[in-house]
Amino acid sequence: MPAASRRCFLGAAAPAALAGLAAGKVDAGGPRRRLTAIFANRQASRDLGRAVWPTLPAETTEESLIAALFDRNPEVADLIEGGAPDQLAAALRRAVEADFAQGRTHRVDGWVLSRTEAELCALARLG
Amino acid sequence: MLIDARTLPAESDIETDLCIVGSGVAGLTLAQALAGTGLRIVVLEGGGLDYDPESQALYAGRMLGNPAAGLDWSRLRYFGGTSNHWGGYCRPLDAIDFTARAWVPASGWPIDAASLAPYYARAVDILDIDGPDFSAEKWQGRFAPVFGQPALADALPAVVFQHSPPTRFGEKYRSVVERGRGIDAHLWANVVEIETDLTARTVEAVRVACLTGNRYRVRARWFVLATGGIENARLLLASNAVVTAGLGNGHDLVGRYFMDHPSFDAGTITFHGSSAIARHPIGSAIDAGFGLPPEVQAEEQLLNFNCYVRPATRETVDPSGYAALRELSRSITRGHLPPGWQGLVGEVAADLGGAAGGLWSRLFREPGELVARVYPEVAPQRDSRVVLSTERDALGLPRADLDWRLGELDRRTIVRGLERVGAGFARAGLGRLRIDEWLLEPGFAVPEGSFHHMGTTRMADNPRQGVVDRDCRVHGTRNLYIAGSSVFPTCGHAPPTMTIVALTLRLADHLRATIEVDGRGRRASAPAERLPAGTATPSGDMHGVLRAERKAPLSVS
Repeated sequence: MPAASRRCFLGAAAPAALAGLAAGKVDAGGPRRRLTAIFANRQASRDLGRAVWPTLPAETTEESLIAALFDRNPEVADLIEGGAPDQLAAALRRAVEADFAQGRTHRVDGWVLSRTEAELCALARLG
Repeated sequence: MLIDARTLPAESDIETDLCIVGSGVAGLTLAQALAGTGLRIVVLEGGGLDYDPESQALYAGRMLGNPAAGLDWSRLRYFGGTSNHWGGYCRPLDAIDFTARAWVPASGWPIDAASLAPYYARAVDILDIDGPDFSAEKWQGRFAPVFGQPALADALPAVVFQHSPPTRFGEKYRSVVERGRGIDAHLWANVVEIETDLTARTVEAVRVACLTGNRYRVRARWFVLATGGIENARLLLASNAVVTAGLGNGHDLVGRYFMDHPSFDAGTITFHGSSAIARHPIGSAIDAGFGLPPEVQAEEQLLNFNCYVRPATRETVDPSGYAALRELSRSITRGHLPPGWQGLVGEVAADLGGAAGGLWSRLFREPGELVARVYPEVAPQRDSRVVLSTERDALGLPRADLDWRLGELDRRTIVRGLERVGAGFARAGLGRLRIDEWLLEPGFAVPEGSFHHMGTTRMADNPRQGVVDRDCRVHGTRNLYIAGSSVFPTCGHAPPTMTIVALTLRLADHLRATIEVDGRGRRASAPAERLPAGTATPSGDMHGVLRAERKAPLSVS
């Protein structure tokens, strides 16, 4: 998608994806599915994730994204297996807030995301 | 007394104690500060009492680097200088701006914020503002509520600016000159050369030329250049009869390290609540922006930074009727009428629709977006400079060209500062910021500056690092000083006017003390022999100057 139209498209997708973060929906499955299930608007998060991927290092994988997210947020790592969805969602909200407080931001087509948000969107893009 | 230089006897020599070149903020601040001290002062102004296109054209020059406002309209050449179109924003520099920051090359002033504080306090009366306290606590409730949001305050402290009416220095201080308290202001008097003795250590006179053809000299004991960041450098570089590289330019610093404040809309915040909280109260004498705490600047190795936010409107420029109404309102709420208020009333009457529309938008419109406008510090860079052109103006003086350069630190500060603003709004749950697309391109240029011409005769204790010393005296000279923002080694994000006034008041104190030491009434020593036309001059390097200096008799400063 050309940069200009992608930017126009993301003008709608980004606010929708980011507004719905950490809605706390239940989803069984592996860490990626549990992490990305918290988006209220899954399609918007996937769309935003498509824009996030080109901004990540070439060697980025699902595993490296999850590892980075867990390294920075041990509370999320602890809750990923067996934690209640509400608890996981709350932990992710705190992770996002901590990113913003400490200036850990990631820019995607001009939108200022927290690093955790960017990682979650990138994971959402994978399925 | 106001004197029309065109009527003075041609080729005459006028003697005085202090010659101030320029009648802008710095020149008139200095003149009024020294009025009534018994000192004879001559102020030389290139223009008249009002705008004149022919005189203004002497300011034309080419833009070679980053785009900026044209040199022939970003400053004004008539009595009162550029204060005649000043916007009125006042704020002192922050303490961090004076410090040497390891991540900012060529940073650090030889003076600190505390030493300038008493002069900032005295600048309040000159600038007609409400006091020296710029803390957010003092002004809480007088600026848009968004800037006081507790959720934002830690990450994005409110940065307060006071509005001067704005003070038009020509109007305000004309009466001081006309009362004749030892001050003569020559109008239409363009300085085309600074003449020195053979050592270039003592300035003996400035040569004055009028566009009508009249020429004469002003001889003085002390000279102060106060012609702005472009013209101060131009005059020094063009005064190359003795030192070929230009006066004060033994270390190739004059004209270099030019800085201006980029100022432009840089992003949009999709706002979750009512954007009315980003509206300033009607008639408020202050404005506010978001700054970056000094510890964040240090941690992220950024320059100082400020970002305004305002409700988005379709118009990028306010209608003229509304702009006039706003200026009237600001002054009236502070208990006085602004200068030229009749004209403002006329503008409101001529554009009633614009005034009403602007007021409606100001009071009731609540768009879902805020506009983020950045106003960052830029780093001093050696290659960002004023140079002499090969073209000459109507008086034969080489024109000044401007090569304004931005560096990666400047660009990183703009983008990273915006990211910090975006993070603050997101964390507080107020909205999400999207940075404008063109700022994502590497090496982006900024649309324009703020008419703040700074840094071209920078201050440093070491003559290898600065053109003037901490007293604003040109290194290597005994009686030539510079007033104005050209002496700023770094520029912070604060508009320069309040610091120009503070530094000039400090210079006035220094000159007063120098005069007392030197003995009032003693005239300058007789001018040294001047070189006949065509005689070889000492080379432009410092060694040439020093060799000549050893042969010259020592003079007491």
